Amino acid sequence: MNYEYILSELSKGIVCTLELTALVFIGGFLFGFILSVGRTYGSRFIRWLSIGYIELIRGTPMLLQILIIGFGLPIAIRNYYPDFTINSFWAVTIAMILNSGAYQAEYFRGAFNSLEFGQTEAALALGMSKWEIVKNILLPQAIRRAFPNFTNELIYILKYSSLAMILSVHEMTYQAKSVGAVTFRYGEIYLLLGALYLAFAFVLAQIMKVVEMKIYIPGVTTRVEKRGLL
Amino acid sequence: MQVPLSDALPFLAKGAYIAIVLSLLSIFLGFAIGIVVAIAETYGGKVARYIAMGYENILRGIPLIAIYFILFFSLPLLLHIGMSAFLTAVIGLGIRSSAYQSQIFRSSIQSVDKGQIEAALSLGMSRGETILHIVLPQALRFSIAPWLNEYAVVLKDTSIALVLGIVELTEKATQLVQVTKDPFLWYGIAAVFYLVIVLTVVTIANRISEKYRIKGLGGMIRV
Amino acid sequence: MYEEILKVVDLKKRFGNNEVLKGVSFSIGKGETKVVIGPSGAGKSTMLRCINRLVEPDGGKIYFKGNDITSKNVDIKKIRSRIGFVFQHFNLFKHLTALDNVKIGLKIVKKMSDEEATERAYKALEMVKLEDCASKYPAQLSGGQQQRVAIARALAMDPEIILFDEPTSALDPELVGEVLDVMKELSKKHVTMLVVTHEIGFALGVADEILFFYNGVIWERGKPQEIIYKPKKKETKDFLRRIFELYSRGEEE
Repeated sequence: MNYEYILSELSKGIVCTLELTALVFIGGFLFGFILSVGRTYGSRFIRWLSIGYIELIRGTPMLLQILIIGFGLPIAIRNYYPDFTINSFWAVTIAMILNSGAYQAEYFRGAFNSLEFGQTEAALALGMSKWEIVKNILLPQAIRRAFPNFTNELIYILKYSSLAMILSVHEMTYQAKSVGAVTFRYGEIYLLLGALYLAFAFVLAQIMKVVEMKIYIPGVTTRVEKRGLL
Repeated sequence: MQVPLSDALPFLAKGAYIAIVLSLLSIFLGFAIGIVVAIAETYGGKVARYIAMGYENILRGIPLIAIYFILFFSLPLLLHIGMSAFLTAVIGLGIRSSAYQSQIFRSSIQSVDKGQIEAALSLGMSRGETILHIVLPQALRFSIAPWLNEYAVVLKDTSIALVLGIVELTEKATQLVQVTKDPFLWYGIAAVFYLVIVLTVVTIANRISEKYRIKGLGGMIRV
Repeated sequence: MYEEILKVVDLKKRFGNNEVLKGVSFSIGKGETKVVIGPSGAGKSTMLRCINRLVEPDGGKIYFKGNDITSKNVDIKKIRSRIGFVFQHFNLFKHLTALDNVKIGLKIVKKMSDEEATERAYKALEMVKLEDCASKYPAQLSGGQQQRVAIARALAMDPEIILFDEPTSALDPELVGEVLDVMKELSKKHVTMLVVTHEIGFALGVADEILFFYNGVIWERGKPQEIIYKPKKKETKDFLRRIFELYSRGEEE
């Protein structure tokens, strides 16, 4: 029973999972913000485009989206460039960012819509431009209001990063499977895998809680959060 | 290689059928367990509550794939309980959904006007009778919209069953893509299938939720 | 030396079938305080919002220091930075401290440095007697304090005129006084003000002219003593009678 081997293999998986999670969360955040601004404040065409995109993403399975980008797209490209290959890690990352962005856009939108128009009026009356208003007045409050949603999204991304194993990305689940194949101790390995996800989910939730308390401003969020562990 | 639509569509339809069956079995399994967990957590004693909270947190913190592997590999190897792939898929998705459904029901139960409970108790009803006849019927009405949203989630996650070898819609589409080298057509058709059902269900849910509001549930469900 | 700051000529605005402003005309000179009174919902707020084009007029012209600001090629953001606006519901930025609320316009719109903005902001807060509340958030302040911060925010921009949209209507009665006191001081310091309000006592105390807004136009106008005690038109008399019955605050403060 080579514990060093198991530890090192799983560690590689953990690092990969955490990288994937961080990239997707941040990418989704930025993409979601841009999407939500287009969706809420854009021209009719932009709004229409954003709504269509968001509904398309939310209406189809994430796994399907990952397969389209990580499996289908390369096949299509290989019809013209037979030697084309993609890096599966980045394919999954991009697919998940495209997915997470759609959901985070809706969190932003809900938060933007919950802000009363009066503050926007006051900012306009001072002479601020639309973009200055979004950046300085609306965004800081929207982030705080949508914070619980962002926390949920982070945990969600952590869990669904496991789908990457289907495209042979060496994240936690894939590494657990490969360790199981070598040691034949599938039973214990998967329980350990479950425990690892739980541990990371808990840690991430705690980190987000700390951040939430640090950025708290009285009067901006209207309710006190009382959530369970996750 | 080309596959004509007349062959491909029935092929895909079988996958769609499996996806729907899987989703229905799982959502109802989740319903049965979810209600029990919700009641345990709302009305139960300390032990029941802690078990319920633990159950919820564990099943919401572990990815579905990991749940599948634990049920499919760890259970037989460690406890000698073996299940078919399909049964594993149903149970895995079902218990995961139950953890989310339990939260839906808990919020709905708490949204029932406390005055109703006071009135029932004043009439002489027992706690159990009050829960069964007064609280639950109203709570369930509040739950319809979020429950429909949960169904949409479950339907989409039936795609993950392909790691257990279940040939549902996404797997069938992938096989066609492998053979025909045309991802857009087959994945496109699969996408339309999911899209139509999800959008219908979610639209109905939105209309219903305009009638009822649940405090404290906003944002907890990722549809 | 009379210097015209604002001139509104035949201002018109309709919402759907409802014509709210039917040709409003008046002007305000530098240092003057003019008060607009009239029945609720008649369009007084809309009129104010047309002046800094938060609402776009359908007809008429607005001249700000001689320039037609209703024309298309005007940089409205620049104009707005020179017109102060105090809202009925304060509209303070909830995520910023009182000081930052006053500073933000200076930094972003007037592009001042942080030091300059901080200095100006403190002076403005001193003018409304709230320099001790500089690091408090709006949620931690009373309504009267919030409105005074809002006034400081408008003052700090060094505007040519300040528009007040029923500044005390959303306040609890015991907090109205502190805001009116600040406004009276500003008026005495010859800040150019256009105030929409129900506070007749305030109007009597400091207004140079009272405009009675009714039926989409300025129905009657005149010096406070004339309008309040010797109104000429029937509608003005009826309105004033109702106000005195409702508010029963003596004519003097």
